Amino acid sequence: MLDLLADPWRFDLTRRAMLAVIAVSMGCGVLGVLVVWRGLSFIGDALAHCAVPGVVVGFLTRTSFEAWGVVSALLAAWGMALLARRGWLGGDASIAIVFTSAFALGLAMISATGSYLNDLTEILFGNPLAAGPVDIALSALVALWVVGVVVLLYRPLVFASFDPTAARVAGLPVGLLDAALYGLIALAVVAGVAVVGSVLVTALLIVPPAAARLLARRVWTQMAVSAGLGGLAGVLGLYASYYLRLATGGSVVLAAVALFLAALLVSPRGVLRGWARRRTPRPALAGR
Amino acid sequence: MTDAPHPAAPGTGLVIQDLSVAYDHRLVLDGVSVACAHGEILGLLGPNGAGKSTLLKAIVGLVPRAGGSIGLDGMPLGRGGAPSTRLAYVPQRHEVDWDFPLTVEDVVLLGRQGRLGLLGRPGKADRQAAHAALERLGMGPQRRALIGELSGGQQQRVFLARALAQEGDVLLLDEPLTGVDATTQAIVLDLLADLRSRGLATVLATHDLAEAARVCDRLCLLNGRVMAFGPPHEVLTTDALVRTYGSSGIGLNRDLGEEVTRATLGPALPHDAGPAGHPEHEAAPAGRHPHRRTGR
Repeated sequence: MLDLLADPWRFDLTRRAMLAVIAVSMGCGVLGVLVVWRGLSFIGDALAHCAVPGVVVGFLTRTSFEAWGVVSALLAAWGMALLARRGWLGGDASIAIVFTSAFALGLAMISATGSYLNDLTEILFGNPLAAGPVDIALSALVALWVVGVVVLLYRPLVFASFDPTAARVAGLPVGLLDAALYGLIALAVVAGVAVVGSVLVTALLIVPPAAARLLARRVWTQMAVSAGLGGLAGVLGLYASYYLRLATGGSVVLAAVALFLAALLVSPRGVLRGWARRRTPRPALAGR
Repeated sequence: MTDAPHPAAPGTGLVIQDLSVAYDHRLVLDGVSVACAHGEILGLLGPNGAGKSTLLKAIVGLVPRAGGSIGLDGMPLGRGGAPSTRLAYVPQRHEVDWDFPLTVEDVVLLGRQGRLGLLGRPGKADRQAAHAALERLGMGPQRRALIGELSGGQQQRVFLARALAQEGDVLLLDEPLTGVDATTQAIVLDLLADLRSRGLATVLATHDLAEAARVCDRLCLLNGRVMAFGPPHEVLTTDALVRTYGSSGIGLNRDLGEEVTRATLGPALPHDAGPAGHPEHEAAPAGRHPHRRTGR
């Protein structure tokens, strides 16, 4: 049993992948709590697609695809924030316009350069085992940075998310905080693309926070639980991928979904409690 | 007692002159001039869409001005920016998502964040201010509850507590009495009287003419422009109400008849009760026994 657990850690390649997956899933888990509460669930998906043109540039120029991906995702994120903020478009329409145009640009760039299929698969579905040491280190750094900024700016970010009007009146730079949050999402998403690919990176941002919402009451406890569940999903997913020869992205996301279903069962408001409540007779309403 | 009260020296407090606000190219506020001295409650009355909320938002710099000036104690407030921590603003309750996973205490502590800045963390003094504000609004026992578990009236009190914790000296309230229970209404009215005696300038947007006539030192009837501005008994005339509300204003005045008379006889709340207060007023909390005051 111990051998089974230790085995993936013996190889440099898998150990690196393991650490990167854990770091990235935890970072996405922390940030995802704010993303979900602000109703930005689909932004992860959108920004992952926006990273594609940058990633392609990285592939073509044989430089870090992470760095280029961050650049294009950041530009897209701020573009979305600007479109929504100026009141030109609703939040959902501005996200959709920016992300489809960026993804189309990325596809056009890939097809124009030949090796269409292999590169595309890697970008869309991720492959932490193929990522080089520089990319892995970058992912881990990005995850650390994301968590660090969220911890540092915790209260202002919460204030600007819960009640942006009052936060502005209180003198907090809400526009700057929004830009910071969108920037962090872009960073986390690009780090996530390396791990699970652009199609599934949304799951890292949304599924652990959704499970944490069922298990914890407050923003910061939800962040802690979400980080824990994200990290756990990363570990479980990589083991499954290692022993069952599954695509890493898919197995990490499936592990996260399994944890979410477990939370749905055991949560205080969950399925099991519901059954238990229905079996015991309801106490009469106490009179005052 | 029937004259317009001026507890503070003229020119101090909040002075709004010739303020205009436009959304796109439609003027929402046109040449609005009102004032609210320290130790005074100004009531903003008017139909839906009259610009009550817009006026409050313009004061705190949330909407840009097309013209005019806003001053606090002789100093101009920044145009569309530079909000001052002296202004505490309570938006309408429905403007936020109450399912947000925050406790009552969390929300009230956010009221201190403006002073603390981006990187500041609340210390002992901040927690004490938050607790005092919660106690003042009768929300002490619920301070660890999630805000989503509260009633509408309790949520309103949390918003008020957040503004109190900010310890500003100008309080801007957007319909704090709309849709709240009797307990909350009594607590809020009592608090307003208390803050007035402590010298705060309070601007209160409300739909409740009767309550406004009882509580406010001065009223502003608003419908894009200022239709009337002055002490309640001068403002609440059929003429002014019809100008503000259209023909339905006639009925309003008839319904208000009793209240207007009462306001003319003397406002419900003490104007110059110092910190020591007046024994008679302390015995009768604001807003609960209006009939007692008609005799004064």
